Amino acid sequence: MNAPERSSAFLLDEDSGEQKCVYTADTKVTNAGTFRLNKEDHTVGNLFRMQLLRDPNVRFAGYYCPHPLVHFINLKIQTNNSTVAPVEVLGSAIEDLANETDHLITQFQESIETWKRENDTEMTSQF
Amino acid sequence: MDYGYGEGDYQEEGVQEMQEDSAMDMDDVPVTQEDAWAVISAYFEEKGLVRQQLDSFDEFIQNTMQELVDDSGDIRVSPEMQHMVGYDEEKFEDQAASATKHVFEIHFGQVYLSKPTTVEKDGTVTNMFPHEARLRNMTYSAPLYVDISQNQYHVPRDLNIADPSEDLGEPFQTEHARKEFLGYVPIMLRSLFCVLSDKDDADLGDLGECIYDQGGYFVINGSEKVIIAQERLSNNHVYAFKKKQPAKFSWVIETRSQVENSTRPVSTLYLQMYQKGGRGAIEGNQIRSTLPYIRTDIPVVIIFRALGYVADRDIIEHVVYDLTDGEMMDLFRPSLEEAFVIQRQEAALDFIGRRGSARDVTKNDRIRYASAILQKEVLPHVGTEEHCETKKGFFMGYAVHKLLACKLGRSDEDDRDHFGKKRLDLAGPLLGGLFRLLFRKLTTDVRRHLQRCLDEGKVFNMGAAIKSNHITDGLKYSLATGNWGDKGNAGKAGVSQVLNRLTYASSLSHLRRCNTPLARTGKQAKPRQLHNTHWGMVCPAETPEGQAVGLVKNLALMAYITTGTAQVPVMEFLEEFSTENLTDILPSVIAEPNTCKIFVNGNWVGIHRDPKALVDTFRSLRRMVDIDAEVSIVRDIAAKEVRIYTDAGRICRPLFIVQDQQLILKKQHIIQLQGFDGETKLTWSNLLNEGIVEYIDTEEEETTMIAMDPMDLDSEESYSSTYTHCEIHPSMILGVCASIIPFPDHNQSPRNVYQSAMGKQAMGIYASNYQVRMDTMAHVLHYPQKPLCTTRAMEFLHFRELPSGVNVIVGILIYTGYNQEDSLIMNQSAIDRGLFRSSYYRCYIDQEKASSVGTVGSLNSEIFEKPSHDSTRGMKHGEYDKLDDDGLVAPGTRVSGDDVLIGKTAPMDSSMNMPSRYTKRDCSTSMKANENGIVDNVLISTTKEGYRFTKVRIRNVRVPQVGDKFASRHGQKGTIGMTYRQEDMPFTVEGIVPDIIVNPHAIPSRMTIAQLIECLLGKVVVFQGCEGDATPFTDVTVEDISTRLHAMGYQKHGNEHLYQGHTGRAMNARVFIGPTFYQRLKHLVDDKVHSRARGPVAMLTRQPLEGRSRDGGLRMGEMERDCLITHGCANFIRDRFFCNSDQYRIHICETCGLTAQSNLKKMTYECRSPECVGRPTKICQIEIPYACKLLLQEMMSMSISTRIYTDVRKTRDNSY
Repeated sequence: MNAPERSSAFLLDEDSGEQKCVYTADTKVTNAGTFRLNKEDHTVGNLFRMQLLRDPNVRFAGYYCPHPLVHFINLKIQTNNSTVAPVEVLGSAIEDLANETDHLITQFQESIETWKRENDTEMTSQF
Repeated sequence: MDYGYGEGDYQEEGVQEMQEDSAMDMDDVPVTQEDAWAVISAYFEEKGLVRQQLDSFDEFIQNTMQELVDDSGDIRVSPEMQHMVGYDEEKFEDQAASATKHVFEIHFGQVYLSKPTTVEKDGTVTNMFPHEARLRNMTYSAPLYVDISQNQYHVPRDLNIADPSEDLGEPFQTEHARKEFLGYVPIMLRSLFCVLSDKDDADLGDLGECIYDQGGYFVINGSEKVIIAQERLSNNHVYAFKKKQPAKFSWVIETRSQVENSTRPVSTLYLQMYQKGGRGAIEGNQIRSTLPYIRTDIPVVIIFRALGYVADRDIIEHVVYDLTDGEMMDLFRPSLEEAFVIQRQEAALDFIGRRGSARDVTKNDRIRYASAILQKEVLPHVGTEEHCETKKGFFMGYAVHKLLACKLGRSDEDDRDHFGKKRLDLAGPLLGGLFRLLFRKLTTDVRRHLQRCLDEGKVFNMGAAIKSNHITDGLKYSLATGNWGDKGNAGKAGVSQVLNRLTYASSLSHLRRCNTPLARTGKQAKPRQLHNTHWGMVCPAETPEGQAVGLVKNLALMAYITTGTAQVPVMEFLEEFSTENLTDILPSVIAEPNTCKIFVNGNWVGIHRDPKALVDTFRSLRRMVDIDAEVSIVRDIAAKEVRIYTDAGRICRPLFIVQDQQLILKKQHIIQLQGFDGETKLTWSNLLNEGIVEYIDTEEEETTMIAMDPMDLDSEESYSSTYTHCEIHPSMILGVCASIIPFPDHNQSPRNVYQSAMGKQAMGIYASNYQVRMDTMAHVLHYPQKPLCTTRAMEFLHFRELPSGVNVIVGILIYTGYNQEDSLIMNQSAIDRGLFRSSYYRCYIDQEKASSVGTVGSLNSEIFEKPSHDSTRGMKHGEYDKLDDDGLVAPGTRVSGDDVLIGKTAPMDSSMNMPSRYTKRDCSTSMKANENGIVDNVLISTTKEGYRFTKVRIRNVRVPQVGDKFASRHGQKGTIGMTYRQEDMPFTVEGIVPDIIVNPHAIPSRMTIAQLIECLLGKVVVFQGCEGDATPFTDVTVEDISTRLHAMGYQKHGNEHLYQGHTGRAMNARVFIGPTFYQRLKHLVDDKVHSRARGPVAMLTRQPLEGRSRDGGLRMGEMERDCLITHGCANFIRDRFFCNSDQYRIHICETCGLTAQSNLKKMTYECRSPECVGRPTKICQIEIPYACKLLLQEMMSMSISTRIYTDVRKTRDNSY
């Protein structure tokens, strides 16, 4: 009846000028900050967190979704020293993840090709 | 056809046996509990689930109605002398002097009932079908006719024609009127006189009926009405009750005596044993009796003397029986001594007569009065004719004997709550009572009409004399409102109720409900408690919670209510079998060791010297149905009594008969029942006629020895060696709603009670014809499933065909915390795929009525049309554009809040007011403000009176959302707390994602073990592809189920590793997960959400309205106010109770304190009160609640002046 639109979970609200990502630097710790990722949830949040924690420059990386009915996450990052900014580590994490997913796609497609080659071509032609 | 249990397996086995070794003696194969299901199937195939209603109604139509007409007696009237102006009075005096008078007699003969018909406006008579009656808001009723003969006599002048026994001799003129119309009698659906009684499924479908509908209800003005069985204490039974001390009496005997099928109210005889002695030498323990119309209690011995037992010895013989019983003789002595002064019958009658309400002068009158009371009013069931003093003496003696025996501690107090002493009045007896009342009203009207015709010398016309409205309207009124009895007189309320159509099971359960008319407020717990004798008769789980707990009951599945049979065959049998009549025996015989008192329907008819032989013969005759199967016989060995009952309303149930520790039922019968033998299929009646099963009522049950299981009969560890009967199946003790619960024998009992109540709120498919029905409100579940775990009883409840829930994967775990306090997490993706979707239907009804102005049926009545703003006054603010030219919305139109669905205008009286452009007034029907949907169906028809009539059905799909209510079948209800898409839900290693996540805290304190077993069995069964048997009281164990699960490679107890949906990591604890049957309950948030900022106010008080439908405010009650007071936020209280409620502004005069007149536009203020007129005034404006202003004005109207001052003023006496 008065439930919000389902699309509000993934479409940015352009009327209110909603941004995909808003960065707020921490006021007390210089090398820390919070990214507010609008219209994102655990799918991205958890991925980023895992990737960030692999980075030796990252001291802390964590995210939270304040409530299941609000569609943004807060990603907090603190780096080891002030030479590396949280924005940088997140940037490189995204880049790494992009490479990794690209790799995943190519690997997947290669395996399909291999399978097609190894199996009867007639049968596979349907796919 | 593999059901995974019983039937399928067994059937194959049976066929094989037949083929392999048909000569094999079937008797050697033991009958198991499993085989009993063949018998149960046969029972329900023949009887269905509402047989008690149908049989009771058929009995009323076929017998009771005719009997009531026969019993009503003839109408006899003779013309009375009239004194009319201008008439020759001498002529009349001549007549008066003649020796004979002219008597008219009207005799009502045979009654006839036709099939249900209706008369349309144009006078055509057509057959009516129930579905048409439902749609057109008509009453499904059949016309009743009666043969009437009119006789005329000349009889002697002094003959008392009012006495029906008086013979009038030969009539000199006789007229016969055949089939005079008496009125319409509503017909119970699927009863013998219903058009549906002999139709098969295909015909039913063609007639728009539900093929699973069982009937048993009426259609009154289009709504379906059920008559709820009414529980009462049985009549003519002698009850002994011990009085709680301190009290005047130590023991009291009560006998509610009523002649069978009589209009006379119950006359109760009380016998009291006094605690203290009276004046004189009596030491206490004397017995006195309360007689009707007699002011004081009469010593019982005086009643005996008045009945003609004068000698002490005579009385003692009738009371004590055994004269050697010194103890009892001693106890009776005070009673004898008390009556010592009265030693003759006349004196005794005079003694009673003196204490009567009528103050008669002569002694003879008093004696006549007293003997009339003894004859007509005392123990009327024994006899009301002359010369039944002997029988009454015996009965009175029996009652006194019982009282003495109780006092001596030889027998116990009677149990008021014993179900054997209860009777259920069903549709038949209830309608019978109503019909008797209405028919009497009709006959008195006929008599009055006849008298007037004769007196005025007019021609008497039978058709004009009979007011058929009495019966038609009387029956309809009681059935429509539930007020049983005459209009105006407050009878019993709530006897007839609107049939609950929420889900199929709720309808069935409603048809098997019974009510105890007892004050709900009474704190007495006893009548509400489950009694031992309820076993098998009343469902132990299905009763409402709260004030009606235990008073409203539901019949167990196989319980059956007797319809009542004639007493005559039983009496003939007793006579044939050498029962000695009471009038023919010496009282001393009763004390002899072998003799036994015989009671028929509570009345002592005689004695018998060999009760065992009598009872055995009786039973064997009944098992051959030479005596009706519903007659019961009880042999009370301790009391030396044999009691036989033939009356209506006894609750009984079928049992297997056991002889020599063996069932009479053999394997052969089972095969015949299942119909494999090639022979004709055996039916339930065959079993009854062959003496394999019999009906045992609650009282007879006490004298039987019943085995729980056929296997218990002849086994080594058999509990008894004297079994007489065997349960058909113990799960038959449950009622309709409790039979849907899987494994109820593994639940804490209140949980079964909760589920029995909740099952009635579950959405499902309530009838197979829901598409063509126009119910005011209905919920239909979109994809209902039959449950994985079924009970055998579901087969008869058609729960598989019309289910009310879905098998969902339920995980019991804590996940994200949005399933606390009985809330659930539901899988949004599953919801998107259609899980638990339902349609909501609502019907709006309107008809063109004769308008208050103008004449009926002419242009001046209301009409359906699209109102136009030009000519119609008072149009609603909703949308009129969706209406077609005929004034109705078209099917398929999307409509929402306040849209007009049915456009209707009424003509306005133009003569009254000054001419205006408006000629019509709007009386359209619009949607409920907070609902929306699509017009599903529009019906247009005419009412019986010929007015146009329409029903508009709106449909709306309800998708599960946060706040909707769901429940498992174990009293575990909860609302959705959160919905997660599939990717956020946990999953098993196989990728199974739960549809519902419930909180584990719901389990331990509630102990609904059955839910866990259901889940476990569901898991097994879903992999094996069959149905799971969850019938209670079978030998299925959790061990069996878990072994089966284990064999399929799962953890024994249904636990699995779950992976977190957000991270994909395995969770630490293993989770119990599996399929469970969940129900969607009718409480949906969309029907409940409500908020208001500003809105409508009540006219009188200007305070906000109440209720969601009126867009009302949320009440700030006393308790909320108390909170605010204790919190100390005074300004907030002012805001809530004043500013946001009924703030109002008035002006007052500071001098006199009364309201002043103000004109804010002109800025003039003045006080017109006499004391202020012409003086300088000081007016000030104050804010008060409007309700306060109202109070002041109302007080003014009572000449109380209330003065308001804004500052502290001294009063005349200088006090404040």
